[in-house]
Amino acid sequence: VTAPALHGAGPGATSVVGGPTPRPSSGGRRPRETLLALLFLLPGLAGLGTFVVFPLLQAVYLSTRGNDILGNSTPSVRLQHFAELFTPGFGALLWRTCVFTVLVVVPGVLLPLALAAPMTQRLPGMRIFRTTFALPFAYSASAASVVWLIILNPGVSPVNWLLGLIGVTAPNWTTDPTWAMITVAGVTVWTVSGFNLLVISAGLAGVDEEVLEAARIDGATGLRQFFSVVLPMVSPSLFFAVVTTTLSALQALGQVQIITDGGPNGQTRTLVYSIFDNAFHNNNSNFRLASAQGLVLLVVGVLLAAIQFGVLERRVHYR
Amino acid sequence: VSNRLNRPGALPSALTYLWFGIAAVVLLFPVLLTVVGGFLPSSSLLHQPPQPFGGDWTAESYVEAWNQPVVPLAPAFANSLLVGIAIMLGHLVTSCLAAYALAFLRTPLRKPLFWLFLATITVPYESIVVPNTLFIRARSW
Repeated sequence: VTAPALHGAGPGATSVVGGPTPRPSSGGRRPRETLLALLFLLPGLAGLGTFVVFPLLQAVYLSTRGNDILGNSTPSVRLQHFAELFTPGFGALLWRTCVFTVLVVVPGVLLPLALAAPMTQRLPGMRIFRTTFALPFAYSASAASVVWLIILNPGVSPVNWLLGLIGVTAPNWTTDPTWAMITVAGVTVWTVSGFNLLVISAGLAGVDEEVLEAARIDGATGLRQFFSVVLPMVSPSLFFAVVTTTLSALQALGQVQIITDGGPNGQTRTLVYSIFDNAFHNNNSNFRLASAQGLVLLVVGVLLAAIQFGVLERRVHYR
Repeated sequence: VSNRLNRPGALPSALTYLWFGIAAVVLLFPVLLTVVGGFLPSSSLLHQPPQPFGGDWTAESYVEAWNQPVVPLAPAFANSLLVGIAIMLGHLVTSCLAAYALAFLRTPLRKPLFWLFLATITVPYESIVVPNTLFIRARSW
């Protein structure tokens, strides 16, 4: 990221209407301008300070305190909450969060790509398909969960009916220990696919016709052209889709709450669900443990982003 | 010229429409159910096989949802609207002011401040939701 453009449009300058005045050659600061800048920065900094930076420091503080049954702080327990986190139970929780993230990100990016790529062909009706396939984007997590709960309800499920026609016995989508996670991930894939389809479609629309023509003259056709020419050229869009989908998968809460509520037997408890559960569910009020878990979530998120930027972004081709 | 370049033959076209047809059934059935389901009497909504176009359409579900006392919808919508507008205005005002100061004014510590603003993106809301909740509760709003 380059530094924002620096213009010398001083607040007292009379020529402000005509655009930025030329920057004076001397680098000296004018006190009035500095004061105005601080005044402009104040609301933003105050908001961030009150609702992001201060809570973050407070989370660190809280995570080292004990917790009584009403949710009040007790004296320092040092790193006991974090010690509680280095247990097989929390390891399983982290593992499930990672499995869930992979189950969402891989299909959540590949499916829209598989839809967007054929849409670039010049065939009638492609625009209608693109618009309608983007519709799941309009669903909130809770609305999507409720609709899918009806579709997968064992008593009335059209999916089960369809499977029954071809002689397959449908699993208990939301109560089977193996299937529950796949179901929640599937609903999440459905909701993110609309947005990712728009992102990847926009990337594909930006692919230069001349490059494709040149590739064709060089004899690249079909799949070869897609993997060697088109894919590298949409890699920035794909990378963006991967990063944003990873973040929404890590932070998925509504789907888990509505579809399985963490069950069966904790099989769909993810890190964010556990934070919510410890802090707010059933008046558990274990705010300190939840704060410690929140800090773990922050570290996991930053680590994943660092890995993605370190490993994946090297392969991204920016023009 | 470019129009002719990307026009596929008969077989690829047929395969494309087949794939989109299958995808449409899977991806858009929930959308259909959302739109139609609310207007169906529960007997045809819960029917197997599904009858999205079969039953007698009625607006009864919507009337019932509006009148039920468990979660009154009018205040809920008002709350959502209030929260949405407040967040939008707050972002707009604070971001515009700060961005102007960082972009056009000679602000001391411009780069560190810019990165401070940017770095807050990496903080997931769930990491700070607990202190924020305790803070608001302590003000007993």
